[in-house]
This record gives sequence, C-alpha cells and structure tokens, in this order.
Amino acid sequence: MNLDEQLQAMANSGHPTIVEIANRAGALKSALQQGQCGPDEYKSLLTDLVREANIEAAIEDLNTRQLTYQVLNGLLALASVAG
Amino acid sequence: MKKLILAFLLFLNGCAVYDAYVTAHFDNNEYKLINDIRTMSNQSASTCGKPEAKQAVDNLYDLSLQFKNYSEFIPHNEETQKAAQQLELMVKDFRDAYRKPEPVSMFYCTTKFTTIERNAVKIQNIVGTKPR
Repeated sequence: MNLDEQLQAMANSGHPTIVEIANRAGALKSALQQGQCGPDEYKSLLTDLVREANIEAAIEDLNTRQLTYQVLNGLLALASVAG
Repeated sequence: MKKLILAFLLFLNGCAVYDAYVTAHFDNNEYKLINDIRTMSNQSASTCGKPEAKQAVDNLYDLSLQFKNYSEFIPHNEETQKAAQQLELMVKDFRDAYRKPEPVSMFYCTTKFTTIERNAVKIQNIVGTKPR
C-alpha cells in the first residue's frame, strides 16, 4: 500500500485520534502540493504527527495494543516518510 | 457474603493506595511550566511572518527544555517524561528551522504553533489530573 492508501486505512479505523492524525497528514500533503510549505517543512510537520501519536500513547488515550495492523503500518509509513 | 464485601472493599482500598504510591503527585512547578508553554504558543502565533517570531520560538524552546529537564527525575512520572521529550523535539525542530538561511513559511509557522499548543493542552491535562 502507498501512503495515501495507508492514510485512508487510518481514516477508516474509527479511532478518533488515528482519524485525526490521518486527516492532518492529508491536509499537510495538500499544503505541500499547493506550495504553502517546502519539503523539509512538510517532513517536520509529519514528524510532529508521529510525535503527537507518541504523546497520545504516553497518556494511554492511544492504546497501541488495540490498534489494527493496518493502522500501525500507517503510523510507521508516516514515520518513514517523515524520516 | 459479608466476607466477600469486606474483601472487595479491601481490594478497592488497596488499589487506591497502590495508585497513590506509584503515580507522581501534582506538582505546581510542572503545571506552571506546561501552562506557560501552552500560553506562549497561543500568543506567539501572531508573530508568524514578523521578525519577532524567531525570538518567540527561542523563548518557547527554553521553556520546553526546562519542562523536559524538570520532569526528568521525578519518580513515577514516566508518562509526563515521555510526553515532555516529544514536545521538546517538536519545538527544537521549530527553533532549528529559524536558524537555517531559508525563510520559514507562514503555513509552517502557524501550523507549528498550533500543534505545540494542542499538544501542550494534552500534557497539561496529564499534569493537572495527577493526585493531590
């Protein structure tokens, strides 16, 4: 699956935090395509989404044990694109 | 039946005592630091696109580093420590962007301040709801 498909799987997960992260990632991609930010800035903002997922995990709102394989793959894909 | 109820009450009481023991208690300084980060990121968003933005981001980084360092060795404080580390990294990226020769875009600046504020609110919730 490419990143778009993985983001779609995250958006369909029904988990509020994951859906929000997927939506934000989609909005960042649009901003990049429209030239509102540069590639380095895009990566930095994507990295922040991964960090946000870590913060959610730290406060246990995001229980990674309850996430599906597809959603975890989506988060990993985000982290990988973010570098 | 009475024994069962007594055992249940002792179990509940034991859980409360255990919870109070293994969780760091509310800390005024920790709460103030995260509140300052939240407030500063909220107020500083209006500096985006202006020369003052760089100084605002530097000040925000100082606070986030203080918050991370302050929470680091408080016992039983793992969740705040992990969150503080992530927040510090977010702000560090932002500070580094202003140290590069390339200009920082308006979109990046406003999104960063918004993201930092949103996450500061989440962390403030952790810190504020610790047992007194």
